[in-house]
Amino acid sequence: MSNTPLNHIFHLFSRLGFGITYSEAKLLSQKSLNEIVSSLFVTSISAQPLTNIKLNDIPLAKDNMSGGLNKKDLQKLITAKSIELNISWIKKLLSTESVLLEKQTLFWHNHFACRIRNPYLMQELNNIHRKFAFGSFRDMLVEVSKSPAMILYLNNQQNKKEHPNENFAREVMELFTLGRGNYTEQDIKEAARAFTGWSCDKAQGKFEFKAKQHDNGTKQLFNRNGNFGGEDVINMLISNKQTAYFITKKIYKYYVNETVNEERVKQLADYYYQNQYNTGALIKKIVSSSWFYDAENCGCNIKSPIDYLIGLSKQFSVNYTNYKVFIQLQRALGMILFSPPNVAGWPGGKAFIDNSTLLLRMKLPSVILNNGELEVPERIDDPDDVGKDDISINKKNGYRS
Amino acid sequence: MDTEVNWTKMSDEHKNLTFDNLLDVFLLKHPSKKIIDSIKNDSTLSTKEMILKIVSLPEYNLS
Repeated sequence: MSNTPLNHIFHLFSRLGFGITYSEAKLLSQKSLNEIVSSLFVTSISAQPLTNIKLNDIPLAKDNMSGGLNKKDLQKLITAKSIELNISWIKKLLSTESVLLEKQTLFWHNHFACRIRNPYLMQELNNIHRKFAFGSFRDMLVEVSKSPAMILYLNNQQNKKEHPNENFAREVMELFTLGRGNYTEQDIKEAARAFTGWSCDKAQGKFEFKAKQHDNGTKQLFNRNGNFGGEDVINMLISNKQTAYFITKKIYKYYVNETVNEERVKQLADYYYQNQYNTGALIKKIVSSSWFYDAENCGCNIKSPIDYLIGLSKQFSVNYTNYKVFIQLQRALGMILFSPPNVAGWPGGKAFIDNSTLLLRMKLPSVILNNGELEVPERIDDPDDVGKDDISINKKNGYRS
Repeated sequence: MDTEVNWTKMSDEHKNLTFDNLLDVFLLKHPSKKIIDSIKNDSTLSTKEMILKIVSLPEYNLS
C-alpha cells in the first residue's frame, strides 16, 4: 500500500521540479509525503554556483582602447559568452538532482530581473540567487543591492550626493519589496539619498562604497528621521509586513495558483514574517499543506517556456547534440534566460501564450522527439538579446528561423 | 533538430502502463472525454505515437 498518492507526487514534482517519470514516482509513492518533501530540500540544500564565465573573460572597454579588441569584436565576445552562460544554466537544469534549487533560483532570477551586457556579472548575480534561494530574503536583498550587475542595471553608480539617481530606490520598493502603492515619492527621493555612493569596481567585479559620493545628511522616510544608509533602508523595508505579503503572494502564485486565495496568503505572509523571511521554511509550509494538493491547485498554472522545455527534455531523456538549439527555442517561446524583457521580469502565466507560441508548443514534442525540422516564426524582441545572433547557427543545423 | 531520444528506454518505462497511467504521467489536467477517447480508441497508434499525441495537447502546457 502506498503512503503517498501518485497524483500528489506528479503535482509536487511539476511545481517543485520539472516533472518526474512514472517509475520514479512509483518508487517514491512508498514514502510519506514528509519524507519526499524533505528529500527535495536535502538534495537542494547546498548551492551549486555557475562557474563557466571568468572575471577576465570580458576585457574592460578602457583596456580595449589600449590595444585590445575593437568595439565590434568585443560585442561578439560578449554575445558568445552570454550564450555560453545561458547554455551552462540549461545544462545544469537538465542534469541536476537539485531540482528545487533550480526552480527557486528561476523564481529569484525573475523577481530580481536584470540584464546587462556583462555575462560574468550576470552569472555572479545568479549565484547570489542560488546562495540565498532558501535562506533569508533580507540577506539576499542586501547582496543583490550590492551586486555590480544590479547597480549597473539600475544606474546606482550614477547615484551621487550632488545628483541623486532614484532608479534603484524606486525599483527596490516597487518590484523587490513593497509593491506599487505602498510608498510615497518622498520615500523614494529620501531612499535614493541613502543609497548614494553604492557603486562597484568593474575591474574586480565587486561592490564598492564611495564615501565621498554618499549623502550624510538627515533623511526622512517612512515617517522616520535619521542619517540613514542603504542597509538602514533595506531594514526598514524588511520590517514592513507589506514586504512579507508581497513576496509571499508572488511565491504563492509561482508554486500554488495564479489565482490567489487572499486569506491563505495573509496567513503565509505572517508565517514568513515571523520566521525572519526564511524562504525555505515558507516553501516547506506551502507544500506540506493539504490544500496544496487540492484539485483546484493542480494543472491550473501555465508552464513557463523554461519549465516546458526542461520538463519535456527530462521526461524523454532528450540528448541535445547542439545546445545552441535551446537559445532559439527560448527566443521563440518568449523567455531567454539572463535576458528578461525589463526590470519587472517576465509577466508569466497567460502572457507566455499567444497564437504563435501555443502552436509552437503543440508542434515541438513531435519535432524534438523525432529529430525533425521546425519553422520558427521570428519574434520581435529587444535587439541585444542573446538569441538574435544565433539564427545562422540554427540554419546551419537544419533548424530554420 | 540535433536531438536524440532513447526510445528503447522510453518504451521500457511505459510498456506496462495503461492509457490512464500515461495520461496521469504527462497531464496534470485531463482534456475532454471526447479527445481522450479519440486517442484511446485509435487502434492504429503505437505507444510512442500515443505519447506524442498526449504531449502535443494544450493540456501538456499546464503545471
